Formats: sequence, structure tokens, C-alpha cells
Amino acid sequence: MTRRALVGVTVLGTAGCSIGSLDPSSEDPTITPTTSPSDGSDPDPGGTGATDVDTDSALVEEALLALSVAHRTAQANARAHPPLADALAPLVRLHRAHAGELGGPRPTSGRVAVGRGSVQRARRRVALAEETLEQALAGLAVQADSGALARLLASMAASVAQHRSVL
Amino acid sequence: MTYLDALQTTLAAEHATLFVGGYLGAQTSASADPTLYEALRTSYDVHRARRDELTAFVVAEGGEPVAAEASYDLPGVVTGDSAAIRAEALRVEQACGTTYGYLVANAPSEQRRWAVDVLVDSARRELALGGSPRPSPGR
Repeated sequence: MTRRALVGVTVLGTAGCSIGSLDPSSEDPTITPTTSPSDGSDPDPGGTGATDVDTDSALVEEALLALSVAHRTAQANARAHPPLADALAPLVRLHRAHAGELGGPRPTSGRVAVGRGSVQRARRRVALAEETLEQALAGLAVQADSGALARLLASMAASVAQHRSVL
Repeated sequence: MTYLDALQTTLAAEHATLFVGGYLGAQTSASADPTLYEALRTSYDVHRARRDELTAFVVAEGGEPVAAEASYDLPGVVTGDSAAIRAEALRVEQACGTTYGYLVANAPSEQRRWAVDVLVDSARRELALGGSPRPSPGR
């Protein structure tokens, strides 16, 4: 990923990172997201300076590679088991969307696990690949220097967890 | 915005979530809709545990934990209206997840793991409240 692309990701990730004030007397007693930093908060406490961009570039590459492996696993199992294709389509779309947010998919090669035999076995293979992806994204979120990138990766891990739960 | 500020904001959100969650549970019949009742009860227990953990984190950071307000505005749901109660509980859970996304962004790397794990757990539990998978929980 280029430095410029990562900065773009960071800016995207920053949108919505701040929150509105907690007003117990307001109609909405819970924290509500806003799209502009109105409370003086720092949505990116780790900073997004050049040093952070350099450090986080490697993390973004790792995330894209993890996404690619999961994506190819879902696609391969959908091809091998057509009855699974509909169930796996949301995952395939999700991987594409997440890769797009990180600057675009990375081509990877090598074999991916395809569940031979039953559809249930193929489903388990995909679920395992998604679990690996979820853990990778969560781990990278912890490592990120940029708070905005951390939030972006953690959100992706959370989304993968949701999709995995309904597989 | 410091890490301590972010912890206090998240703690305040948990206070509000517990208040509303308790109210929603009180509007739900355990016999008429045991699934919803159980989901709300579990959610309440989870949020109470998070509140206690956040309180401990604030103290560890040298802060005075923000107290709950005496009262909060409550949603206008009708007792026994399971669909409305479920929708409100989901909305609160999603808002709380967004707050944890904020905490993730404002936590130093070495203290971020807990917030990441809670965000993922919150997203997963949205499903028990009738939510569907979405691309960006917590943002």
C-alpha cells in the first residue's frame, strides 16, 4: 500500500470517530455518533504523522493479505459447493468492501482449504478461515499506531464476527 | 482527549445503557417472550460487568469514576411490545458499540485489547437482539 493510500484510509477511518456529548436529559440517553469532532476529542491519539504511516503500512498489508486468503477460501468453497454460494455471497461482498477501504485487494497465490465431500464440511472450512481473519484483524487493531486505523480494523473484525455467527 | 477521558465517556455510556436496559427488561414478560427476556437479562449482566471493569480502569488511571445520573430519558415503548423493545435494545447496543469504537481509537496500543474484544463481542450480541450483520459495527 502506498503512503498516500494509507493516509486516505486513515482519513476515512476518522469519520465518525468522535462522539456527541452524553446528555442524560436528552431524548437519546446513550452515546450517539457524530460525523464531526464537536467535543474536542482526538479521534487519532496515536497520531497520523509520517512515522505512524510508515509503521502502519505494514499492518495494512497484513490485513489485506488476511482478507485475500479468507476471500479466496469463500470463493473456492462456493464454487465447489454451489448450494453454499448464496450463503457465502455476503462474506465475499464483505471482503471486497473491506479490502476497498484499505486501498484495494492484494492478489495472493497458493492453495486454500476447500471442504471436500459434504456441504457442512465446506461450511466449517469457511468458518475457520473467517475465524482466522477475525483474529488477525483484531490483533492488527491492537498493534496499530494510528487510533483511526485501529478503529477501522477492529470494526472489520467485529463485522467478520457477525457474519461468521450466521454462517 | 486522553485515554482517561475516553474511559470516562465509555463508563458514562455504560451507566446510561444499564438504566435503559433495566427499563426494557422490566417491560418484558419472561413467560410471554422468554427469548427476548433472556437476551435482555444476559445483556444487562454483560453491561454491568463492563461498567465495573471500566470503573476499575478509570481508578487505575488515577481518575474519579464518573457517576451515573439520577435519571435518563427513556424510550417510549409499550409494555409487552416485544418488537419495539427488541428494536430499542438493539439501538442501544449499537450505540454502545460505537462508543467502544471510540475507546479503541483513543486507547494506547498496550491498553487497547480489552476495547477491541468488547467491540467484537458487542457486535456479535447485536444478533441476539434481532440485528443483522453489517459492514462497520462500532463506526
